[in-house]
Amino acid sequence: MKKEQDHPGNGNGKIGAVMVVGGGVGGMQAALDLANSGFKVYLVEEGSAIGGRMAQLDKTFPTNDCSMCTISPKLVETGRHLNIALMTDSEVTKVEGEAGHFRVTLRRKPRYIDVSKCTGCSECAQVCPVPIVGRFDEGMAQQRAAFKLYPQAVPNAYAIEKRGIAACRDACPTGQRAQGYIALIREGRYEDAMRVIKEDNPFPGICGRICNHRCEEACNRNSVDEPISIASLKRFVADQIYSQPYNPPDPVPYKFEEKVAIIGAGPCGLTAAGDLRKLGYPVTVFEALPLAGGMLRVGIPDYRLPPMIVDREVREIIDLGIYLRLNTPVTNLDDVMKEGFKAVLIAVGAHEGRKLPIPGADLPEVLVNTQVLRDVSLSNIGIEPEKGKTHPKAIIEKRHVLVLGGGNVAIDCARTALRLGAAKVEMACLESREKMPADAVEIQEAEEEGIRIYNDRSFRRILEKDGHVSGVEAVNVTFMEFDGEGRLNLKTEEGSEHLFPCEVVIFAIGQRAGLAFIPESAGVGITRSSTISVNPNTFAATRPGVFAAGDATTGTGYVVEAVAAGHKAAASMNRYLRGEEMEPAVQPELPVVKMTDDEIEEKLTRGEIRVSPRVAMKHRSVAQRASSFQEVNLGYTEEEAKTEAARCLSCGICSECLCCYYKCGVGAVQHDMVEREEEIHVGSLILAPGYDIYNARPSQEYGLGRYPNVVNALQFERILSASGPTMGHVNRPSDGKVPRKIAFIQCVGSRDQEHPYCSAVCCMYATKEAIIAKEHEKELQPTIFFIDIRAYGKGFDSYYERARKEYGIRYVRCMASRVAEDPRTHNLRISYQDESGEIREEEFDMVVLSVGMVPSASTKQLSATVGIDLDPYGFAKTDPFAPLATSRAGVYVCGVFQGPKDIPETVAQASGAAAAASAVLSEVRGTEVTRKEYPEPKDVKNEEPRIGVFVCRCGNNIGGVVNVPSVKEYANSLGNVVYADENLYTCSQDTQEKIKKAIEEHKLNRVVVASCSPRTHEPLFQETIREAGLNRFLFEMANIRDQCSWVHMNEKEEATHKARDLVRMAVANARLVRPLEELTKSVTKKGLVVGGGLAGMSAALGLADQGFETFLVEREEELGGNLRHIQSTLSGKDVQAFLRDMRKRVTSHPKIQVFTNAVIADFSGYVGNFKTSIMVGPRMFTRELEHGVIVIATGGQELKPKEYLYGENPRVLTQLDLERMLAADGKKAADLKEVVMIQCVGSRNEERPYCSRVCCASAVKNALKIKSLNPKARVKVLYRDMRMYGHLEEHYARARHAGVLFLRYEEDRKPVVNQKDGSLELSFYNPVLREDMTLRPDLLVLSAAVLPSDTEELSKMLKCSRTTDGFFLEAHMKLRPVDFATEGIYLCGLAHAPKTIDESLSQAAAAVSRACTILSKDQIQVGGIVSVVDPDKCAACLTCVRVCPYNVPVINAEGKAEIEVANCQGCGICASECPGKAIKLQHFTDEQIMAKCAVLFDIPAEMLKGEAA
Amino acid sequence: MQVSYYPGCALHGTAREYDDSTQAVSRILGVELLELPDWNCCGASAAHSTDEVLAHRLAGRNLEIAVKEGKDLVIPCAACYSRLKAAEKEENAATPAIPARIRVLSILEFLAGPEMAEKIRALKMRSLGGLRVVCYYGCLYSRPPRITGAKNYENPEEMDQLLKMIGVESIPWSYKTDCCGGSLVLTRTDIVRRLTQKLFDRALEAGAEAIVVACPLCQANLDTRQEEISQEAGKSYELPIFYFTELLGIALGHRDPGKWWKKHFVDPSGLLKKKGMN
Repeated sequence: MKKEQDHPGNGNGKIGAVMVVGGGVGGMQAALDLANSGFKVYLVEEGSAIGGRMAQLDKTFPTNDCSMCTISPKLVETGRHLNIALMTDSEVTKVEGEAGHFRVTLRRKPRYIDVSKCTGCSECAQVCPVPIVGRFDEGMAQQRAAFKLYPQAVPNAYAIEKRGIAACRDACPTGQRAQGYIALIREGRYEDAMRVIKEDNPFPGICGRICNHRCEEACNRNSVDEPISIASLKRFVADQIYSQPYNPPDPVPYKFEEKVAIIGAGPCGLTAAGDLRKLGYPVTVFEALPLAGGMLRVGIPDYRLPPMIVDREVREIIDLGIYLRLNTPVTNLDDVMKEGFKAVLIAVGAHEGRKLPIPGADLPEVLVNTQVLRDVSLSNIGIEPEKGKTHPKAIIEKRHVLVLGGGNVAIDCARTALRLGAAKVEMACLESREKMPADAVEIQEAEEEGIRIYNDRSFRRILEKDGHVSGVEAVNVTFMEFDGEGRLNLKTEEGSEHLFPCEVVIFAIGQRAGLAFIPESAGVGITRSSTISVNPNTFAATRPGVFAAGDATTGTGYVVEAVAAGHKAAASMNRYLRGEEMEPAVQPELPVVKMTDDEIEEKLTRGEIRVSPRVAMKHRSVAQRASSFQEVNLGYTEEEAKTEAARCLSCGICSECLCCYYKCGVGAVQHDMVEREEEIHVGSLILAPGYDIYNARPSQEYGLGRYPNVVNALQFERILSASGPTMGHVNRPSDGKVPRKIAFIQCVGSRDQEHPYCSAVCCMYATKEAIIAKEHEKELQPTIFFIDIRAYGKGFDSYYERARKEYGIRYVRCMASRVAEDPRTHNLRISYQDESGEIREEEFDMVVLSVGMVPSASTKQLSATVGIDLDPYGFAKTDPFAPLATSRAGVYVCGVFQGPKDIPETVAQASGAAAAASAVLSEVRGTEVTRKEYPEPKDVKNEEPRIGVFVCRCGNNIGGVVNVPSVKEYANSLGNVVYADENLYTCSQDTQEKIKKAIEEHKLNRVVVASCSPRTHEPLFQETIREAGLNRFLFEMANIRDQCSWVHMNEKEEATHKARDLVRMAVANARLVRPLEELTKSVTKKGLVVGGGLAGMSAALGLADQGFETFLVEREEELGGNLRHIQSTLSGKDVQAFLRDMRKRVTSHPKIQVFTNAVIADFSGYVGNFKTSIMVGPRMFTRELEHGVIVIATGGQELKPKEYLYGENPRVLTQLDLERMLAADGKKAADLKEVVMIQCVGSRNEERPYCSRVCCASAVKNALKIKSLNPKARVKVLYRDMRMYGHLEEHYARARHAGVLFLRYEEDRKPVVNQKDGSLELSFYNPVLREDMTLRPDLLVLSAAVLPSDTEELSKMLKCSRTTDGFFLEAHMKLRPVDFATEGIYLCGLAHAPKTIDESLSQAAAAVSRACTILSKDQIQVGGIVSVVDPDKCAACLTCVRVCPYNVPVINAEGKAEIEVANCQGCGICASECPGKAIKLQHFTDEQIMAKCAVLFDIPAEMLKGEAA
Repeated sequence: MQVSYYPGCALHGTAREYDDSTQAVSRILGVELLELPDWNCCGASAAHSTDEVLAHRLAGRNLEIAVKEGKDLVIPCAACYSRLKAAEKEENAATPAIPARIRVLSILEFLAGPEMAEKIRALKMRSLGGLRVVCYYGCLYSRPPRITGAKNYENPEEMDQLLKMIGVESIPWSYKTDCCGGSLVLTRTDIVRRLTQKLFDRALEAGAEAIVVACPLCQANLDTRQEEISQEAGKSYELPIFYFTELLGIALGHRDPGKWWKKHFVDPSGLLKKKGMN
């Protein structure tokens, strides 16, 4: 690849690149047009994929085409375009500079999946345990936190959604991904859950039991009901795994030589030991006790933490290959250092219990906590106390025991004493009940077991009697607090001395580390509170190479703290040993998720969460446990655990459980991605950010979110979609049943007080949804409640009529006031006023709210960032004479952001915006683009086919069903196959290199890939073989995924068989494919515009401004067309001034040649090379014009009505007549008393079944004009539907405020007009009053239809089709609104359909943009997959001429069919229809098809040899 | 805590039990209700539909007294509340420079606020679990929103939340703010009967055993009509109509709720007995 020019631009620093913001259909179209006319495009999309709203739709009106099918090729083209840089997950944060050269700063958000590596195989989503509400399905279905927005998404890559760190993870010192393992428990994936826990904590069974679980305090579920039982779930995972036989871990290979010593085999030491061993160090652990586990093993009673759990978890660490030296107390640190250890970690814990220095503390029955617990633990496994010491049981049994202390250890001592057979156990402590450090559960369990606790006591002395303990003297505490340095501030009550009688005292007031082995000479500093002093970031002690962590540095802490310290110490020691910077690198922090009350309220409303308290864990009964050391808590059953896990709110969204990371076969998952900024230089910007649908939840009268069977229109669209949550079955949400009666309520969030505009599309989409729903379910009865049916677009009115008449869809004119629900059936009751004026309540099974379009919050932000003005509703502010330009020069808009509109208008505007954005950059066209160069293709025509077959596993997608190795073997056995291989992902980057190498090494001249769909992947592979020097047509694909492994996933053997069949067919075809040559033809860089009205002039100016010479041909004497008759726009703009200016610009433009009084006489040629002869002037002299493109803008005119006495009575006018009259003499209005206007004159009838679109607005405009000239005049507009769509609605409201009366009449009861002595009398039936009315107007104004110009001759000459109404027919209603099926010919203005000034201007710009994609090229490529005629066989029967949808074939001078290569679209219809088989479609020849069929059904013997394999 | 209290005519007459239960609940919650000195009619019944100035002045005078007293004004009757709120709005519109001096609150708004809700949670003596009701807010409690400032004016939730707090199962239904015909009681009883019967049917259909209200007019309308509707419809209606303050009173351990029931046409004591709440 090379850049055409390294220096950006030479036109005054202009940049030949454009940024398009928004990847919907508008953004894509603008990007494609620009990229295809020589500009580099940066397409910025805030989501993870482009496609926008259109991708969500099921069908499109009025053709009922599948939305996805129509948009999908555009997606692929955009995604693969060499000069479109797709920037997903990005937002604009700053725009500096000016038109021609902007500096745009983007925020590029992390996606956590590398798009360049991701193959879209879906395995990350398959293993992701976190379900989230799917946005693409509008909350109707779930997806995973690792997701692709929709199956056809471009880029074809997954993304991971993260909101931040889950509160539980943030609260845990070790950063346990609790949300992750909880999600995996929910799915029953306990092994995975265990793996997740062990990422951060090697002691699941231990921490699941005795952790102080601050995660639960932090849990966001606290705001709903109770936190998740996180610790219990962790324990459950351990219980599940430990009930299976133990599999020792694989020993870790040594990577480093430096020996490491750990002193102390407690949780901290063992964690560090495990980490360092896994890093590859030789590790030795020194332990003083005869067993490992530290406090966990000897400090916690067995009934709380069974020893086998500790042993098991310790063993798993030791089995990594750690040298454990038990019974080896380190007495002198230097001895250890002398053994050659390069680093030592002191993690000795705090095992020395303390006594209070009070009289009597030395009595024999005064014990200390750690000693008691240790002796009991050891004796339980048969290790007796050292000689000369008595076992605590001997002291405690049958005696009255008082435990001093209020922490967990104190409770452990008390409950242990009870189990050793004490006669009575009591506790006394300094703290109040609330301040006791022990866990509430522990206290509760102790009390259940009969242990009494005395709070707020301070102890003076231990009383003795006969050398034995007889009691403790205590005083009451009135105040206690530890200051910042841990000193106790205590106040006691005078005279409150009292006695606790007892026989044994156990001190449980804290522990500390035994540090005698560190003499001062060791160089390791000790703090005042007897802990080792360390750097808190690195855990390095004051002596180099010596580290310390855990309780020995902090004083007594919890297990998780020890584990966290162990991890950090190990990481620090590794950095030390590797000579790296000791301080750990600062990690970018994700925010901690805190769910707001509003958010929770919303989720509760939508039923996403339900209030449900935590699942209680079963306990052993008090009677059972008091005398035994058996575990008290019994753990969750599987069912209980899953129920509890299901309560998790998944607040962080992605939990970083890393399942995807381990699963991804190409290393695309990168959880450490961070947000970054990027600056991009462009010449102009196009904003196409689209819209939000109105959130109807606040419109509570409709119950969205409260009643399950009320959905919004987009949700219903997803229900109808085959790829939607119900697979296209019309099922209602509450019970999945097929609804019979569905109501659509129109204008929800449109035409109301907050949204005083019409959303322009809802009438049509509701009609479409009703039709499609009925097509899905014949029995269905849709009813549409509407105010006006606004079917104003091309073909819309007949669609609406078809819906009514053919489909029987019921339309009820009224605004439904509310929806109520029958709580038993979830059916819905709608109150409304029927046509006869009765208030009715009708029950429906389902209600669809036709929600309007609103600008999204992010577009407001975007506008502020870019610095453009918005209208009061938040749409971009534009001028009717410059509908694509914003208030900031160089920034353009298109689509709904400019105002509510449908898809074709969006697409047209997008093209128009592309033309506007590039007009100012025409001198730097081609300066920023890259062009790809390929090696000269090898000539393989005469070679024997040498086929290479590449079979794809697609991770597990194919490989998990189809036996890929056997398919590969089979392919190898087929004739002409000289090489076969299999790949994990055939589409990954490295595999492309592999394919090229194979082509080289094995001299392949045909390539077959057996993988997925050619729709998405064929271009990629064709590209690859082109790079290897093969013609791109020497390629064939077998779809063994979508059409095989996916649909037959449960029949593996048959699927394998079918895969072989498909490969065999592909190979048979590959033998016959031939290289096809593509011809290059030069382009005449000139344009011809037919029609000199508004659209034509505008198009001519557009082409000329882009730097192309343009011919403008006008039939009449002067330019201007209909514009000449219009005085002002609805918003009051002066149209005549605009026209004068435009005429001047056209006639004075150096690149425009105007021919007036001119008609087209002849036309020939093809795209890039047209020839037109015109006859000019009264003398009709002929001019030959050569041009590359042609724009048809032949316009239309107002109908001269034949009804309502038009032409018979001077008081009857058309709207244009009226406008002319008012402009000529405003005073005439002063005499008017009553003016009546009749709408739809000549429109929406049998003769012209279309809506003329502009007449409602004209009527409102003229009515307002009359009112402004003479406020006393009564103006009445008789209408059928007021079609004041989009922003016109506000003018409709303005007219009503001004006192204009709008009265409805019915189609079948039209007004009747009579004249009597020259005065008019009009009578009509008023359906609202339900009676006849008679009016006597001074003026009767007819809103007459818009007619197309007579273009019959022209259409024949150009071979461009027209609709039955006489308007030109575009190539595709939705996505090619200004193109003709014939390439190089474009369309705009009234020639296409009736439209307003700003719409014509947008469309003209669009035609320019489309034309520029041809004119900007020096050459065009033609040929390839095209039809060719064998003249010898042709009988000139005209079949091909008739069937070709593009009017390409002609019978030439020799009397044979001829197909112009440049015009042929390769559809193949002529080839299949030709009765003489004279036409073949290259690359899809009969021979090829037959060969494929032959090997499928009738397998020649020589091919069967493969079958045996 | 002290607040001004505007009982209105209903609470001194037909709705004594509303007054009494409101007073009782307030006492338990440590709120002193100071009846507005020399208060007068709010104008809800006749004035507001006949004379705009009078309507404004009647309510306005009360408001002035309340401002003088300087404490937030709490109003149990939804009609009074609506009138005084309207007066407050007009007042504020007339003199926008003067910041709101006191708040005008309905008793429901007041008790459902965070401070009182917290107290109710803490002082709750018994849970009314097992009682299934629908909450009926009527027309004036939340609407028109420009007067009341309510956010969820079509589907208010305050009463539901309070009742849930004391264990009552308040069933979601669609008719919380439908009209009961209160203003047509004397003139078009037929309409009232139709509207209230619909409410009974919908409440029963939702599975409610009683309806809970926060307005003396709603209560009277729903409570007193059931017998005649039963006769007319040939279908027996016997739904107790509670004031929410009565249920709060039970939950907060009021000693003698029994005296409130004497004022009810449909005696709720049977239902309460069945639920073990008498």
